[in-house]
Amino acid sequence: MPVRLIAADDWRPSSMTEHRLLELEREGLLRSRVSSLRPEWIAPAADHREPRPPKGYVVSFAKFHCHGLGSPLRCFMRALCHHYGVELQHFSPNAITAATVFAAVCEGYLGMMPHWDLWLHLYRGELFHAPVEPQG
Amino acid sequence: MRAGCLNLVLKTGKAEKPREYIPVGLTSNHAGWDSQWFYLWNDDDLLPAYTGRLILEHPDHWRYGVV
Repeated sequence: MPVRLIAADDWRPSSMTEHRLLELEREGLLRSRVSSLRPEWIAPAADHREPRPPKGYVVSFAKFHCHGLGSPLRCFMRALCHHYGVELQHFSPNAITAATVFAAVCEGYLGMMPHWDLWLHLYRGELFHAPVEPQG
Repeated sequence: MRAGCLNLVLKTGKAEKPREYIPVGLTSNHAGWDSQWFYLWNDDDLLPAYTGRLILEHPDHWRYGVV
């Protein structure tokens, strides 16, 4: 039976600045911004209280890249999005870790691309519930 | 939830694979991660476009797969 989530979180304004994104780039966690017409990444404008990505962009989190989200994005991430019916921002940081570890085991130890049936055999999706403060 | 609502976990429940894996705790502290968002170029439209939709349900197929 599907599980319904009662509460929904609002977006928090982003703390990511161009300086912080450049740091991630220097650490090798993001590709070089390169083009000014179609940069690899964009820091949110100060008036963006919630994401409003330009056409051709998705919303990502610094933590995702610290946890192994490759850039350019793996086809495996695309498969995960489509199978679970979600967008990139819906993954938790630990979900990114799980996918990265799985891909590393497949490619580094088993000598194959991430195997979809093996993924489904080993992993399941869970809906994360934010803790709800008791009222009264 | 708008972000971070899908967790992917090993099937280690009693009904799935009892005692098959050694439990491992994740030590990272994710506090404040959801305020560190930015825009990332979507190479070749590889990923679904951002719509901002809420995930309100846990569909059954999130749990099942090849057994």
